[in-house]
This record gives sequence, structure tokens and C-alpha cells, in this order.
Amino acid sequence: MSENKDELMSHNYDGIQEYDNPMPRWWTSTFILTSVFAVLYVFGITFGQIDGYQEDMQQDNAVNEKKRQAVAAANPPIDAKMLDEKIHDPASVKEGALVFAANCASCHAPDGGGLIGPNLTDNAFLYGKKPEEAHKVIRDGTAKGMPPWGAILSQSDMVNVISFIVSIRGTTPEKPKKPQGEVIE
Amino acid sequence: MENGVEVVEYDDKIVRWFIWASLIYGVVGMLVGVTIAFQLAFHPLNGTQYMEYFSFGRLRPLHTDAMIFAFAGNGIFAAVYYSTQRLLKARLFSDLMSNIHFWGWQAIIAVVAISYPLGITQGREYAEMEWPIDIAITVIWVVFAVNFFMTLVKRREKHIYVAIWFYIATIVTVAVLHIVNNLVIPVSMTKSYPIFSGVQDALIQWWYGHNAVAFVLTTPFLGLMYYFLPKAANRPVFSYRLSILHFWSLVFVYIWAGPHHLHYTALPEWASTLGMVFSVVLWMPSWGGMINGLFTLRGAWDRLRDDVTLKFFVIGITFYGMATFEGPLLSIKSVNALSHYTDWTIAHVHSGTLGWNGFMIFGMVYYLIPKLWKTKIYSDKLSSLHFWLGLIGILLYIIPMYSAGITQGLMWRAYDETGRLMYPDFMETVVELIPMYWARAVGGSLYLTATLIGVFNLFMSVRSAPKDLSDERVEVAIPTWRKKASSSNNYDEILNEMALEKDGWHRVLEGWPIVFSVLTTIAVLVGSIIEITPFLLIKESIPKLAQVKPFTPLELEGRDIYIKEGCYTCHSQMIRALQYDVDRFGEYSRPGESVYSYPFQWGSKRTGPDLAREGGKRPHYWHVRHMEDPRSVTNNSIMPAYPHMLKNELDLSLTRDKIDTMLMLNVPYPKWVSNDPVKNAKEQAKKIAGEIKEQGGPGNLENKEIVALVAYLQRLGTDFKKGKK
Repeated sequence: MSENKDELMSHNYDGIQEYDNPMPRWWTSTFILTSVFAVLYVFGITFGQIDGYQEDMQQDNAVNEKKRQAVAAANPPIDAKMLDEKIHDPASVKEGALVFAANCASCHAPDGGGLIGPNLTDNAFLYGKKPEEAHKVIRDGTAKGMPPWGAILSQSDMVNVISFIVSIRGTTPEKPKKPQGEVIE
Repeated sequence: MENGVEVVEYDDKIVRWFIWASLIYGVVGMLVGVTIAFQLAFHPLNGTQYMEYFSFGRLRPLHTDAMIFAFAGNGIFAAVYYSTQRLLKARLFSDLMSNIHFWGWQAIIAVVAISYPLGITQGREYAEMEWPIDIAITVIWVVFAVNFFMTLVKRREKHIYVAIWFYIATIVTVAVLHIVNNLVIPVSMTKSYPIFSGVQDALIQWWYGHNAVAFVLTTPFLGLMYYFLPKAANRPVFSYRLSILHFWSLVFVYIWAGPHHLHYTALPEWASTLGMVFSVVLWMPSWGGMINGLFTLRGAWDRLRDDVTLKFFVIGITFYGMATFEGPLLSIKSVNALSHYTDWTIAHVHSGTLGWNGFMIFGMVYYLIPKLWKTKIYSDKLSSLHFWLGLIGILLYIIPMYSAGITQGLMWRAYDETGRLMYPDFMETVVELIPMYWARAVGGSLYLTATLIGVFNLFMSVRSAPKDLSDERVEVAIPTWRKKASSSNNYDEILNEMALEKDGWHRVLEGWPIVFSVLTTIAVLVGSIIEITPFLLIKESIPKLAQVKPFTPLELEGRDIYIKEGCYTCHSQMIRALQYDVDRFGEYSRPGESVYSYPFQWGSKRTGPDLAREGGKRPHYWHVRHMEDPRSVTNNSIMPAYPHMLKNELDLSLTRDKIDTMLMLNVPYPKWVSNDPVKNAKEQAKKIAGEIKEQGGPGNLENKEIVALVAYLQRLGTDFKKGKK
């Protein structure tokens, strides 16, 4: 700050005086640098050196899509055969109860008796009785308002919650909702 | 001097009034702020089980607008009126106008404070006042402007000081912002629709919102600083040249920065880019004020120990420096991707309002007590307590909010090793923040307590003031330049003056306040026009989507309930063009999707999840239960309950007028809708009520508010999907 000579300007406002000091050099330099950055950035994004929203999004998605594909390749898909093997495993049912309580109970009631969504304990089915049919409904949701859970539940959570749902069929809930759909024995 | 002297009597009474108004409304605004802070930490405090008036969504706009326009507003009126008279050596132009300004402004605030809890709102941030209040604000602002500019005309000091420059910028720019942003068509005394929708409305609203920060919370406070700081420190201002450069660059650059509030949204990226680069350039113009403030204190630092005014000013200016560094930082797209919609923004604005605006006002008040009330400050210990408690309060407020904002921002974007969102359940990212919401509420309470101590200190000081407070009288030399100007006002004279002026060309400009004001106006209009007009004139800038249709009359009523309850204070309706937003909420929002959104409801904060694609995601009955009691369907939800929506009758008395207003705005309603919108609304309500019953819900909702809201929520984002099939 050696250039600050602290020379007073001639004016005086209600006792306030001002020095004739220059701007600090770092202030001027930074001001110029930010202005240069502004111009370069506008050029960069206009002529393609800097990625815009679309490019960034595609790159981000490509990274995660690769990971998702790797997981899909490494794990057997959830199909009828895999479900039949797994769903009667008591450990899976126990895990599934936790998944159900956290995600499903608010619409299907804690005991599966139905509330906003249908009763899961009776023998009436809107979208089929088979475990793989239940899987499709949980994964993709339905037009009537069941949200899709495919992106939220992990593969093991998905299998476990199906195990739990199958396990509560035929139980007697506290307040059963009236049956909906086709009766399948 | 040969012209003799005359006695000038300053109007100090009006300054005393504005100071009281600022502090009293400050306490009220902070009390509302503390209330909503506790509501976020503990939802039952919304009290909606008992009545509908004091939920977060209705009180939050009351808090923000009270702090901006009542606390800061009255504070700057006090600063402007006190310093302008002394800097121009002239009494305010008209005592009547000063009084109208004061009482008019306080009446406006009182009406706002009543109207927001009643749900009378435009639903646009910091501009929620409905149109009759907007007209009153315009009238009072014009009274203020005339009073100020006529004082300039009557001045006895030829040149205008830098504080006056900032006041001029404030007065002209706020007028422009307020009028353009409130171009609406009234439906009734308490309801209007803006003439712009969607992208256009968003751009104008944030041009306004950002520059309300600039020209209500920044420029007048810099003016305040330029007068009161050198007076209190008794030191010359560090650099006159810096004042010139940072003033002009600030007013020119600031106005461009608004679009940085809309990064990654449906606003076309070029506008966003301009908003970002100008915000970065704004860093040094903003810091020019901080440098001139802090460097002016060279040689006076030792006085900080026992001068409470200087203590408040130094911390205030420091917070200004922090906030104006953080602003450009947050405007950078990639940083904004993390911070936007989170509590980081809340931390940022509170370091500005509590630190900069609050502390500058408090510093000014302590400086003015002996001058305006001719008495000593009641207790220096209490002043000191006010300062320290306030400072601790700010830190305890902003630190948890930074932490909450960054935590939630990182959780939203986190992917696990399988390439899926790590926290797909939005609620997981909310639960994490609750402890920080408690800490913030405590910090806010401390700041409120500090302010109450300040008010008590002022009250006790004023009690010992002399009974008859006479206005300050000063002797001023009758200026020679005024006579000259009136007798021979020709070019030669002006050129002569410029040649004689040894302090440079700008000095000449300072002698011509009207020219100065015109140039300032041009400086703020350039950026405004370049950024906004393309969106108003070029149709292609907002590509239309054929499948997007207007809201049905019932959905429109539901939308107005959404606006009335202030849902936009916690829910965005704007999925950003960011992969983690898309993976969480669905396809990113397109410009053409909100062309019938009068006003836009994109939101600026996601305390709850985004709703842009909410339509069809869940059954109607889920929404009914959720509004009645959010906890019944979402564990740990912090949303207020809205049981009154299941009880309140749906009011369709304005539906006809609303649709007529929409037709005036060229919203293409088919004849079969616009011929009898009420019948159309009733039919849709009956259908939805039937579906709710079928899904297991109550069967008596056909004529209730909830049906309209469900209709609206179930519509959101569905038109876009239709086009994809």
C-alpha cells in the first residue's frame, strides 16, 4: 500500500473528507481477471469448449448407467425361478417385514390389511397372484397410483419384500379393506 | 461568503420516528422468523389442527417481507433522511411529504401483516403483496422520491457526496423493479394474475428478487456506511476514486445477475450464463464498498474497543464482504447445483440481513441516540451485550444452516456403487437436518433477544431525553453557485466549469444531480433490457409444447389454494437439468410446460420434494390423507397438516372471473369450458370425489377445498408425459 499518500481531496461534506488514494492493485487486478473470465466463459460455452447442461447430464448418466449394467450382468435377474427359491426363506421374510414397514405400510396398512392401496392378505388380486407378477407391480408401479419402486429398492430388498407379502397371505388383519380384483385360489 | 449566511433547521423528528419503526418492526419480523424456525424443527407448532392462519407457508413471506421492507426499509429511510439533509445542507423538501411517507409506509406494513396470514398473496417471493397494496407502495415511493429529489434541487452544497449517489440508485431502481414486477390483472380486490407466465414470469421475478437485495439491502446501506462510518470514526474516506469506480460498476453489473437464481432450470442456458458471469464480475465492485469501509478505519482501530457504533459497523461490513464473496461463488453453475434449493441459501441471506443490514442499522442507532435525543446512551454494558449476543446469534444461526445445506445437497447427488441414488427416499435427507434446525432456532432466538436488549436500551435512553427536542439548527453560507446557474446557464459556463474543476470530470457530474440520476437509470436499464426483452419479444425463446393445455377451472382453483397456503415456500416445481434431479423426480422440466402458470411456482427451496411431476404418482386418497395428516402416510414428515382443507367449502364464486382473466391473457380455453367454468369445475369435483370414495376414502368431499387441490396436484407434469406416448 506504499502508493497511498493519504492526500485529502479539497471537498468536505458535513465534516466528511476523502483521500485521493488509488484503488488497491489487487482490487483492480482481480476486477480485470473476473472480467476476462466472464468473456472467456461466454466464448467457451458458445463455441463448445465448455459443456452445457445437456452434455453434462449425458456424461453423468453414462457413468451410472455403466455401473447399473455391470450390476445387472453380475446378478441373476429377478425371475420366477429365483423368486420361488428365495421367498420361503424365513430370513428373507424377516428382512422383508422391515422393508414393508418402512415403505409400504403407509398405504397398505402395517398388517397388510389395506388402506389407500388394496388388502394384501386376502385372495383377491388386481394384478395376479404369482410372485413375479407382484415383482412387476412393485418395480414399475400401476396406473391406479402405486408408485414405482424399482429405482428405490435394492435387488435384495425387492426380493425380501415379496417374500414378506407372500408370507402374510391368509392372515387376518385388524381392519381388512374389502376385496378388490379377481379371486384366485 | 460575501453572500451572507442563513440558518437551516433539519427535520430530526422524522428520523426519530423511522428509527422506532425500524426497531419495532424488526422485533416483530424476527419474532415471526423465530416462530417459523421452530415450526421447521417441531411441526405441531404450525397449529393447523386448530386454525389455518399461522402455518409456515403463510408466515414465511411475512417474515421475509417484514425484515426487508419494514426493518431494513424503515432503517434506510432514517439513514437517508438524516444524512441527506446534512450532506446537502437543506431541510427535507416537505414536512407533509415526510409525514405521508412515514404513516403511509407503516400502514402498508400493517395491511401486509394482516393479509398474508389470511392467505391473500400473489405467491411470488418478496413480492407477495396483492395489487392494491402494490399501488399504495408505488404512491408512497413516489412521495419519498419527490421529497428526496426536491431536497436535491433545494440543496446548498453544489456537489453530491457518494452516499447520495447510492440513495439515487436505490430510489430510481426500486421504482422500476416494483412496477415491472407487479404488472398484474386484478380478478378481485384480493386476487390477481400476473401478465407474464412461466419462464417469463420467473425471469422477471428473479430480476426483481435479486435486485431487491441489491437496491434495498445493498446500495442504501452502502450510502448509510459512507455517511455514518467516517462520521463515527472521524476519519476521511479511504479512496474517492474507488468510490466512483465501485459505484458505477456496482449499479451497472448488479442488475444482470438475477438469472443465477435459475441455473439448470427451464430458463434457457444463455440467460443463466449471463447471470453467472456478471455475478462473478460483481465480486470486486461489491468489495470496493468493503475496502472503503474497512480502510477508512485505518488509524482508528483502537477506538473499536469502546465505541459500540464502530464495533457494529466493522462486523456489519465484514459480513457484507463475506456475503458478497459468497454470492459470486454461489452463482457459479456447478456450485449452485449443490447449493440451490438447500439451506445454504438460507445461511447466505441471513449472514447478509442479520450481519450486514442488522448490524449497520444498530450501529447507526447507537450513533444517533445522543444526537437525536440529546442524551447519553442508557447503558454501555447493555450496548455491549447487544453486540456480543447478536454476533453469537448470527454464528449459531448460519453455521448449522451451512452444514444443513451442504449435507442435504451432497445427499441429493450421492450415488452408490451400483449406480443408483444413495438416498432415494427424500425423507432420509430431511431427517438428517432436524438437529440443525433446532440449533438455528436457538441462534435466531439469541439474535432476537439481542435486538430486544437494544430496544430496551433505546427506550431507557429516550426516557432521559429533554422534554422539548428541538431540531438541529446550523448556519450555512448562502451558495454563490445557485445564483450564477440561474442567471446565465449557457454552454460556455459549463465548459468553463469543467476546465476549472481540478478534481476531474466526475466532480462536474456530481454538481449535476439530475444528469447523475438519469445516467444511473440508464446504467440499470441496460442489463434489464438486454436480458428480459428477448423473452418477451421472441416467441421461439420459449418453445411451445402442443400437448400442454391450460388448467381446468377446478385445477386453477386448486392452484390458487396451493398459492394461498404458500406451498412454494417449501416445494419446488422445477426439475433441474441435472442427472440426480432427473433420477429422483423424473424428466427435467421444459420451458413449454409452464406457459399457463400464472404466476410461475418453480420455488427456490426444497424443504419438501419437488412436485413438477407429482401428477399420477399416487392415488387421490393418498393426497387426501397426506393433507389431513402428513405423518399418516409419510413417517417423520415435517410438513404442516391441513385438515381445514377437508372442512372448508370450495369457493367457486370467482371462477368465472378467473377464467375471463385467463382469456384476456390469451390462454386458449375451449368454448365448452369457458362458457360455464363453474359447471365444469363441479363436474370434475364430483368425479374426483367419487374416485376418492372408491379408493376407500370419505365420501363427502365433493364441495371441499381438498378436491380442487387434489385435481391440481394430479395434473402436475402429466401433459408432458402424454406427449411422450
